[in-house]
Amino acid sequence: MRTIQRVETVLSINQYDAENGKEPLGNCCAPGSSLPLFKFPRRLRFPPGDESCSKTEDLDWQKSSEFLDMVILAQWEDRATRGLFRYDVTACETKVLPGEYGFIAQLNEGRHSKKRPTEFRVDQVLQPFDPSKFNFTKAAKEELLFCVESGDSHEGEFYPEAPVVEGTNAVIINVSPIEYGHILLVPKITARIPQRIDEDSLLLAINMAVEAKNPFFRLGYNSLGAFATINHLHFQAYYLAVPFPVERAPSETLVSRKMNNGVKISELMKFPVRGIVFESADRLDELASSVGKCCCILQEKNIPFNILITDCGSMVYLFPQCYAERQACGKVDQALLGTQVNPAVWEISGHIVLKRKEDYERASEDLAWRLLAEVSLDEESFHELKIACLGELICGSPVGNEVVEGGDVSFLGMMLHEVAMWLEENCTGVDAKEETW
Amino acid sequence: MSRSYGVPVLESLRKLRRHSFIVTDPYLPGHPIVYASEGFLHMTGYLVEEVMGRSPRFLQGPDTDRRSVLQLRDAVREEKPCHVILLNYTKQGWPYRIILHMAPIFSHKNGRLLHFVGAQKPLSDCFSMRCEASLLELCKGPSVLLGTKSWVDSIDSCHPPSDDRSSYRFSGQRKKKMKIASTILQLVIHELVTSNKLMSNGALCCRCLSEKAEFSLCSSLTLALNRIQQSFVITDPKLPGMPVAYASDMFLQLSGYQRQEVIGRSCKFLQGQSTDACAVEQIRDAIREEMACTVRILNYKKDGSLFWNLLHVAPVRDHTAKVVYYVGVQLLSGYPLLEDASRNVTPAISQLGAVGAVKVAVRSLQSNGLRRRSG
Repeated sequence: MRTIQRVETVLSINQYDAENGKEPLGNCCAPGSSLPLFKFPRRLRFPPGDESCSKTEDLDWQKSSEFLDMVILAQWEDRATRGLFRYDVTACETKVLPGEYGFIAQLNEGRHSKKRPTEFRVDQVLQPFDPSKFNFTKAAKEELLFCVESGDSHEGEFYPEAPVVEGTNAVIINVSPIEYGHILLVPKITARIPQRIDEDSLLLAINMAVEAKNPFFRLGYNSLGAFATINHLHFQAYYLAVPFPVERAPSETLVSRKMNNGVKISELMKFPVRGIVFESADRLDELASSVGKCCCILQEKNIPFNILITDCGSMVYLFPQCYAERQACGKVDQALLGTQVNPAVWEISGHIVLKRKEDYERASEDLAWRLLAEVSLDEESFHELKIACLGELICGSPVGNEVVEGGDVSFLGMMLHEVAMWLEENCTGVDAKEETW
Repeated sequence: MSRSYGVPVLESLRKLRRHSFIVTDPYLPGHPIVYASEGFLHMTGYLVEEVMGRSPRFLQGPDTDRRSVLQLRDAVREEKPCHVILLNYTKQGWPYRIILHMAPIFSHKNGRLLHFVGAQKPLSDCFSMRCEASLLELCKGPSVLLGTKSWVDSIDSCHPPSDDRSSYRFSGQRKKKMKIASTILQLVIHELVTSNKLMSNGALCCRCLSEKAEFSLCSSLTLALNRIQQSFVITDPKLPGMPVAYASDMFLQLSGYQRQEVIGRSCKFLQGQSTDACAVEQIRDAIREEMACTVRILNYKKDGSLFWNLLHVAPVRDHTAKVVYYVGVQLLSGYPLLEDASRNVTPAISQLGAVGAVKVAVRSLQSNGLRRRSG
């Protein structure tokens, strides 16, 4: 059994102080009580984007789409004024490190608790739910912002008090926030599901990203062994109005949209952590299914991983990682260990929270790169993984030397040829001299 | 357009009509097109009324590389120029690749960002137009202020953005196209900048003051604040009297004032004879402690009528963690917004939602904010 010593991150007040005596959430989320509820609209496809057809439609779309945003921010600010967070995260200095990727570093001395380090098992991605350990039904009632469920109307709806149904999903605050609006999404909270991904929970998370309609509202997931601290299924999310370094990295297409129900799959390039990128502009459930299949394979193979959902839910990054294992085997450089950065999904994406002032002052893109390089699977293992997850979809080696981004090469070539023919016939005075000057 | 550049600019831009370029407004949601050249309409197949006021995103489609789009968004946010290769779609739905070269235009008077100009050059040979020859002639004409040579040099030295895997056959052509796109851009910028200079010479005094105060709010922050559907003002505690740095449209509606009457003035203008001094003192105390507070205060609209204002004031910090602004969100007692009532959202929630949105925006976008530094 491989383990590492780590100080637990405190996500909930009751986790911090067992004698708090605050009413636990589990009781309030049982059917029979009433809680605030946000119902997602019924949505099969990704929305067309923020241009739409006419201007009045634009305005309606904007108003309705920023509704979830407003509810989350309002509830969060309310809890902040009530003193439910361990510190004011906006009072944590943050900066963008010089360099092309723009890694973001934050000095956060309050996030790490003063508790003694506990042992975390890092060699098993799937572990059974242990009711004696902390889980989100034991969180304090005030930490719940609202419940979310899928609805049937074409707009998002909010009910300050609605009867709780079986299998409701909870949105809870993270009392040690990394950024403003840091929340936890706990699918089917009363079902007490251990930390493991499936298509349904992914679809819920993607739905939330779509509904918030804010490209800077991102959701993330850490598997056990990839720095998840609590073995109760949950996603994290927060607002940061800045592009993440990973979003700036290029990628190479592995599977085109046409071959995969509108979901394009690519490999992340020129980034310290090897990863797979899923993109879709079509059906939400296809995207969830595509990512979900890969996650299941990773879980079967016992490989820890992290997931980032960004760009209003239309882009999903999957990062298999091995930092904890390397740490347990003593393979990680002492200097990197000294920063006590646990590379979970946010760190991998390029948002690094530092505990010590000297680390913050010395932070550089180079240091971030070196740290994240230790997280990544090596080339061989990653290649094996690609084949295992996507084998049937990739027709041999990655499509190389494409003239166009995504799409079927031959199809586009044919189309361009037709266009060229049409233009030659219909355009007068296409200047052949263009080539020479 | 004519507000920033004067009416003659439309004439000078028409000289360049054969080329494909658009001018967009970064202060409006969606970054909409405010001017489109004939060449652009010809290339994309749209009519001018189908294009004006729309975000240029409608030109993109399912196969457009999202990373190129993100690069553009970065450039807008950082108010810097950029060039990308982008897959666009004509009205008929034909995809075609273009080199898009985009650059910001700053006001000569106060350095504030005015618009973005984007020049497009299709990569594929089939779309070549005769305008290439006429472009050569134009180049020999007026000298380009911003230094075409340095632009062109920078293109020669840089590697093609985002798309590394294109076949070698195209790279030589690509450089040529980039040069063309940037030259078009230079010409357009030249016209706009000259017109803007002429404008500022005849500028009115009172506009100077208001624009100066707004100068501290860059376009991306202003845009983020514009999206918040609430009555609120942002005040600057560092300046004497805590002047208003930003006022939302709904605030102007509520108070009856015009934007230029409000920006740069201390928010005391809402107070009057019957305003309770205690309430004002409460606000002052909270500000001294850098804390939030909610007070019920009697305020005056421009026309002198009174209203009870449930005012929530909160400190707002930027990325350096220092308090840079205070946000004051007004709520007319007994006057919930209609849409909110139907959505079961209490006025208190709307107020706090506005505070949250302001905090998120200011944290990343205020002054230098969380933007990449050059070098």
